Amino acid sequence: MLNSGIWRTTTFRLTALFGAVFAGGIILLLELVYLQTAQYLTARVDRTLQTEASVLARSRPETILPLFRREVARDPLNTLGLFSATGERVAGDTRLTPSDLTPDGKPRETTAGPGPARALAERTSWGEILIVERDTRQLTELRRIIRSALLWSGAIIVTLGLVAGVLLSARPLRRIRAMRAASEAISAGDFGTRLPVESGGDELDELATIANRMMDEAERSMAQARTVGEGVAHELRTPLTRLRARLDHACQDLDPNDPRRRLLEACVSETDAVLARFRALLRIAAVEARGRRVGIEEVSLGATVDQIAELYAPLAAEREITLEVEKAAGLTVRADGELLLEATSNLLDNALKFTPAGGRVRLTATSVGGIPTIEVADNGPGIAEAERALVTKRFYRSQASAHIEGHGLGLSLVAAVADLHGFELLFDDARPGVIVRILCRRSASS
Amino acid sequence: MDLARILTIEDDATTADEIARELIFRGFEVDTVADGVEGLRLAATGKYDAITLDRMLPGLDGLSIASMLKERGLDTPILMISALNDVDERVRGLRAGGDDYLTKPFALDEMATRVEVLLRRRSADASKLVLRFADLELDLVAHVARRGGRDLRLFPKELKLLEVLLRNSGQVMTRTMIFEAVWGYNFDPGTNLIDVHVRALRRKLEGPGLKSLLQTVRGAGYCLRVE
Repeated sequence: MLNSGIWRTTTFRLTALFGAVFAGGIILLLELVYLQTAQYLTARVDRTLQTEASVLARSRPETILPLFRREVARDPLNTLGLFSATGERVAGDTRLTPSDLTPDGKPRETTAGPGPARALAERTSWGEILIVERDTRQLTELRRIIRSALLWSGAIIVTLGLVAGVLLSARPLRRIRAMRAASEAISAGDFGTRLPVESGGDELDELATIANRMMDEAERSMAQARTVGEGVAHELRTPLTRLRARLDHACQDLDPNDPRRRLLEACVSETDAVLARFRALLRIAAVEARGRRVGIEEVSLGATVDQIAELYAPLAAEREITLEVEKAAGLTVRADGELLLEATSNLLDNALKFTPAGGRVRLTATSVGGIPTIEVADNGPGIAEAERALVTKRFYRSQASAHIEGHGLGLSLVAAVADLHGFELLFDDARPGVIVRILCRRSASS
Repeated sequence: MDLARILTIEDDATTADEIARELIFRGFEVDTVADGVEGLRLAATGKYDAITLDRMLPGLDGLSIASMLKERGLDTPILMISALNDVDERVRGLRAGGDDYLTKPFALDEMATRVEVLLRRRSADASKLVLRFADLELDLVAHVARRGGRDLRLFPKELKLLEVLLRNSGQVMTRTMIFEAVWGYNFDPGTNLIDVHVRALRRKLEGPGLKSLLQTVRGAGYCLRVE
């Protein structure tokens, strides 16, 4: 669950940003506390130093030494020193010397001692130099405490922020994933699927609801477009069948030599052509509507090719076309066997239709780059490059084949069957002629 | 032939009307009923020679009616009619006791022809080992066809085609029916694919001085009969 996706969610980013701002605030606050405290403590140290120095400096040469001893005994943090005007030590144990400080009575930071300290030097009224020093280790200690507090609280805030971010992001992320899965199913052709909507009604739900409404509308208009076409074909079939029966009866009633009979016979075969077209159209609609309900099974391509070749052998012989069959052993695909047979039969039917007498048609079950493939090649007139995308469109008929009987729906059906399985339908130039391939790649979904 | 009685169980009034009209036109007596339960009651009386049965019905669906009738030992042939064009559906329909299966939408004469075939099949003996028509005979055990004592050299599919035509001799078989019965496929074969197969068989059946037996019925299909 904890993969890279979480870092990109809005919730996670917001939580992380909030954590960062919070951590920054804590740092500022602690720094402020430290600065204020340090300033206050320093000022206090300085005041102590100055008071002490002024008391000592204003005493007299004969009383200063007893005062000295008393001060040292009173406050162990203080160290004192008394130096002659030339800089020699008279009394006291400070490590500082007059050369370290300017005798102006102003407290300064010094580092000559064992630890951090502040000190000041002042000239006594009789000309000697007095040094007062005070240990400020407290301040350093305070800084250390505050720094470690910063470090710990920072670490805790960052960890808590990350954990909260991950926890808060997990749910939206799971929902986004569910939506992605649904969207992928929809683009794969499962138009009945909708994006999941939870009852919370947050902005994700709002978006999903809008998208779902959009898809309802799209599905409705698609279904409408399809049912109009199917409906027309459906509705016209019955009256046409009746018309055909009447024409046929009328035909039978006429004398075989009556010229009107020839005319009626032509009408019957025209009606038959229209009926065949409707049948093909309804069949394509049925295949498309079958959607996921296909009876998928393990199908042997070799057997498919054999059955179709057997079915069409007499037709090829009658048209004086050599029908060759080639098949690699052991090629199987997962498909609806009957639909695959139908598609293959349509391809072979086309090839036999468009190849002139004396030509050659080859039906092959082979493997193209590891993909089981059914291939139909002929040496007929071929399909012009510009027409290849059009031949699978319903009712499209090649300019070159206008004189050949047909309804222009055969390849549409093949395309519908290929689509249904996620197979690929490819056209290639056989120089001369055309090669049509159904590449039966295993679709990821099945 | 006295009038055969057909029961049409179909809930869609228009379709029921069309079926009835076509069957009456062919010379049958037809009763129609829209409800499954009532349909079962009528069918169980046994006074019908064939039944057309819609798969989807209010009350009791077609599959249940078919299997109940067969369970009661009624052998009235049933033509199942369904809008579901699935191989599975077809198999289910036939297994439940349908004798033939037709997918909506259908051509009316296709439907009527199938009813006629069902009526004939009832009288024909399905267990025969040798089928005969005129001077034509097919030995189903030895897989040999003869005409006037002369062996015909037929391919397996041609034998099967001949068997289907012989079992329905005198009866028009549409191209779709032939395609289904011989090859077992349910799709629409190319316009003249079946014609080519029938022509090939006809060439082998006929010879100089022999009567033509395999007739083309214009606009309908083929029929084994003596002109």
